[in-house]
Amino acid sequence: MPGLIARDYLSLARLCATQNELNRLHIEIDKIATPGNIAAIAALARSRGCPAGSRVWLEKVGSTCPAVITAPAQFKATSLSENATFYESPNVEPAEKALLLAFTGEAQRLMLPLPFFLQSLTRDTWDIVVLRKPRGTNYLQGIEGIGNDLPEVLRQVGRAVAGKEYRRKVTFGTSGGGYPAILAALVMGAGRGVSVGGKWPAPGSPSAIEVQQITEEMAAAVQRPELCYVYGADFQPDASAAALMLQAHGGRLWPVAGVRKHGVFAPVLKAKQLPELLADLLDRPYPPGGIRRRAEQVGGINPVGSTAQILQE
Amino acid sequence: MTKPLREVILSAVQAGNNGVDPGPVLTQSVLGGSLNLTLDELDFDSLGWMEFCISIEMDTGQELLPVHIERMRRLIEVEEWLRARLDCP
Repeated sequence: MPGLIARDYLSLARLCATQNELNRLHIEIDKIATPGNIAAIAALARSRGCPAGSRVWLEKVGSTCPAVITAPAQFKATSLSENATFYESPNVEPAEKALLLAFTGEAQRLMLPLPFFLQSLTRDTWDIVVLRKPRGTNYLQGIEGIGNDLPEVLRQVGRAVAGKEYRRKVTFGTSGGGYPAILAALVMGAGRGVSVGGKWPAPGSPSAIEVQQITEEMAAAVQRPELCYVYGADFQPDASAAALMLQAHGGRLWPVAGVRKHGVFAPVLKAKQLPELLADLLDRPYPPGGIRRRAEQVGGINPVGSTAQILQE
Repeated sequence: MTKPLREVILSAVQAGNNGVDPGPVLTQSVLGGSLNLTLDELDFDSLGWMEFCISIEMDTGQELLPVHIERMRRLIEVEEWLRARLDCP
């Protein structure tokens, strides 16, 4: 399948008349491709040649996250609907894996091209369902083609992975997908819910009303998940939103030191710390209490002490 | 191109903002102001600038690229770049 996708890519790339058209193609690929897809494109481009703009794109991929091309993490992708894709780690039984339910943001990404995100997850550990919402819509009011509200979306996802007994389930969302990920964790009784740069619903907005309606579903959940709110430590809008989520649902704040913008992952990836951060957020036990300090270099800033503030529910 | 240039730029700003409405203040600034806004104030990431340029090209046929944006400081320079290439007042 990666080879087929690579041939399709080269055909489409050669049809692009301008660099912007090629950029459009790359943007769409970055929303859904696996690392294996990108590696196959790179291999075919080397053997058959490609437009100059494709070469530039592949060089940028190679410099940003070399392993995507040299040692791609293996995932088998299955389309669940126009707005949902299932990525499975092959050759590993579900009982040995965890399921990540990922809510992308407005750009239908997880703050990064998807291949970089998949590559940065702990190897052979995760199956992932990636949800994408059409622009201008809100997860809390459902996803076209999947369900008319968040609980129905979760039920449909559950049916899609029925029969697979994962050892744990985690929800994860960035930007506009951050708070829905938290609510999803509460509704489905996931083990953990993580918001990265999540946005708090404006008072009186349709989203705020949906939140109230979802709380009944939350009350039925058997397991109370660990909740974590990640944001750039020096980006006040996201810090404020995280504080509101914490106030509403408890959990812990996770400010990422040295990040001054909404996009948390780009500087962390640039500092080659994304695998470590994702492992901390998704895989490893959270510290039981107190302040945890770890020196890290993010975005070229000199190492600073990084604190994950833990506020008990 | 039938769309007024300021509307072209406003559409591009919205595209760069992931399709999110720029809000009344920025909208008025683009449509009726001096366009003296700095590009940094738009706070787009690299994806946002690609979407901005794609939107400009779709509306005008002019191949504005992120590499051109890198040499600009203010939104007015985008308008000047387009005026130099388009037959518009």
